[in-house]
Amino acid sequence: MGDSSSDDSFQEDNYIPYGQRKEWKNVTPIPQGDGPEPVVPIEYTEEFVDTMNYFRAVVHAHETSERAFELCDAVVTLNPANYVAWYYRRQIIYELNMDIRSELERMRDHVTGCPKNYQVWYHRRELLERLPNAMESATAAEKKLIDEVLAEDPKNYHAWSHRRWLVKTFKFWDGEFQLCDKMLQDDVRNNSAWNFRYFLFECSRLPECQDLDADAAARLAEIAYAQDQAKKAVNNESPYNYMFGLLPKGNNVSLLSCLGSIVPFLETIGKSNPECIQSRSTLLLCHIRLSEVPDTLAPADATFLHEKEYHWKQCSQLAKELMELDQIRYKYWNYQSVYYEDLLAAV
Amino acid sequence: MKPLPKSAQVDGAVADDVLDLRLSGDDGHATHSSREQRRIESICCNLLRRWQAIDDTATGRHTASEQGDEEENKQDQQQPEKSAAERSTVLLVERHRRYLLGALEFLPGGFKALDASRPWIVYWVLHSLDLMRTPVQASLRKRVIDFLGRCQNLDSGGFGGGPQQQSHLAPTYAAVNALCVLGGEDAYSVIDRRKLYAFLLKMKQPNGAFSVCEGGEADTRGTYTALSVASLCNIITPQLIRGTAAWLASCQSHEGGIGGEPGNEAHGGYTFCGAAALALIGEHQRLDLNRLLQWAASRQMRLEGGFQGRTNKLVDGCYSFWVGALFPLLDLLMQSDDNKSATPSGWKFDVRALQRYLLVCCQSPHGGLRDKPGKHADHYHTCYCLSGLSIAQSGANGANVFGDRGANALRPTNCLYNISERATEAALSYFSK
Repeated sequence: MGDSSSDDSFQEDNYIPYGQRKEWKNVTPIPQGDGPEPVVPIEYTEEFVDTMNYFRAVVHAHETSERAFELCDAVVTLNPANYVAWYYRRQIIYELNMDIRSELERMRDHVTGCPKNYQVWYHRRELLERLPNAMESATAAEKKLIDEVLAEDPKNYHAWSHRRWLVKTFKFWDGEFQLCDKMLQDDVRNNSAWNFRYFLFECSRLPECQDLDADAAARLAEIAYAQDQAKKAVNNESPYNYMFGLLPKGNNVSLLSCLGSIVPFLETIGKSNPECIQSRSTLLLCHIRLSEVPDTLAPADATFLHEKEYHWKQCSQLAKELMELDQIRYKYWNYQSVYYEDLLAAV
Repeated sequence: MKPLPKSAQVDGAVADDVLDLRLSGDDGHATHSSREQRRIESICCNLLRRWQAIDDTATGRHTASEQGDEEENKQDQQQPEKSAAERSTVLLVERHRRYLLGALEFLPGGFKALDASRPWIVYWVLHSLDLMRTPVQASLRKRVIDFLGRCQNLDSGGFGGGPQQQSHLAPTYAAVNALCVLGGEDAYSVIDRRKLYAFLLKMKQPNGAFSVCEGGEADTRGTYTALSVASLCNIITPQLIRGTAAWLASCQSHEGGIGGEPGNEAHGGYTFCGAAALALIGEHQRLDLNRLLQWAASRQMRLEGGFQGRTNKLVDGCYSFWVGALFPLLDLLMQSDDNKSATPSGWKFDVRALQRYLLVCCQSPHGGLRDKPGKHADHYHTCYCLSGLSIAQSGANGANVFGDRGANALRPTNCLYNISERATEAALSYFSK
């Protein structure tokens, strides 16, 4: 128990100030150099001040020891955003050659406790990079942690970012498409899951130029998936962004195949849903893209591909519809409408 | 949703803004996202409906033709088209000032979570005060300059989150911005530019991005903060930015917005960081600007009027700046592209709906602004809500001030650095020597 004479000023009854701990006797604490009349002064607890005083001392002395390691833990428990302490803790781990997997396990609670904190995630990234031939089991453990965080917050940006990094770095693709599927079944509007699916698709496909037919086939399959999902809730923006995003960058037959699927789909949705904004805004993007396709590419059977003036007319028409349907974006659609009208007038 | 009868939505003040208070449907397929969205719309709808119902009898004001209050008559004449509700909408400047100045003097224990971000608090406060044309007393100015000087690390260069904390790009950005808001030789000269450059160079990664600190994440945020301070302090070199533009461009996602790292979801904060960073080094042509513009425009919420940060997520006052600033930024960047951008009507989003969201839904009666109704105000949101308000007002030569012009008009903020235009000019001029 703490010394009774100083108990009143400490939050925890069993908190013993570092100055009274035998093992810390040889360290002189360093007070915070705020200056005489600091601004934004925080009303720290005595425990916070004490812990930070000793932490500053340890960092100043470049001490990398077991007790310094414990002190880092105390600091990040008080303030998980203290990036200095996270960094210093890792230096100690490296220097003392501590077991990385134990650290990852030990720091799990910090992640589930502060899932929106940058440092808790980056800590793991750096440590995982240092794991000798990062084992499948370590990666599996990370995925389990990410799953837990996503169960609480299906759109946690850090969690998805960590997962993307993990999967890409260790090429541990197993089960990832299934995870996406599950997340989208839970909530088809989960844009983070859509984005992750796009990442998986990008990583899994061959470079565009290699085999255009295979490229087209892969994209069309994903476009079909997105179309199925879009039909569940036609005003959900995510699948529309996804399918448009799947268009190849180059002007080639794969592009035309994809548009051959997307354009009629959007037209159909638009006809049966006269107030649908998403199908129309995406169709506008398609017509912009089509207007940029060189004439030489036009195959005979591409009924949706015309000379650029036709597409400009569609753009203008769609923009005008959207000025009515999507009034919060009136100025943007008006700008589009005017732009394409001007292009047509100049012809 | 069936379109409302359209009123003439032209630039500047309009008699009848479209205020569409119908809650979003869920297409018969409710999910967590749609339920959350409806919940927030409901709350905002109540506030906006109550606001809309304000008329002259409620405010006790008399029309110009009745009583003889000269000041009121003059204001009414200057803004005759404004509804009673709009005329009654004021920015609670004095309350926000008290809230902000209070933070400089005292922060309760819960703020220990920001113990590694104190220069941020200084910036959020000083920039907010500056937007509201609040003079800073000489003694306070001195204390701020002294404190920020103590956060600088003269061995490594750059600023830490507090005294004796290793340098980190986020507090570096905040400290440099705060000093530029103060302006003046004594503020600018705190920054050790040579050491700062060394620090930035050390943070530079082989892939072109910048880490936020030694052993820290390298992302769009780190890259923007590095380029922002380098640009203001005039220390950008080819060596510093080699490979950076290509890396930034690779962060544009399939949706057209920008993520924290390549492959990450398009996000308002990171999109601002990525676009502004590329603009600062003149490499914005690497982006699909048209796609970016459509992404940004799509982030404005129909009912609430504010912006969401990502597709299918909720409105948040801070995106008023992160997403709002993209519009003047893109106007600037797309100017050369024929006349595709020349719009006399100001930014390509509904600037009045945004201001209405901020003023009606985001002001705390205790001072400060917030994410959304139901959340507490904080200094970060105060800063970015006010910054967004400034952006919204500044299109069309400032003719777009919503509500009481006298009370609500803010100083214009620079859409690249997010300090006032006049602070930007002064700093750039000083460091160009």
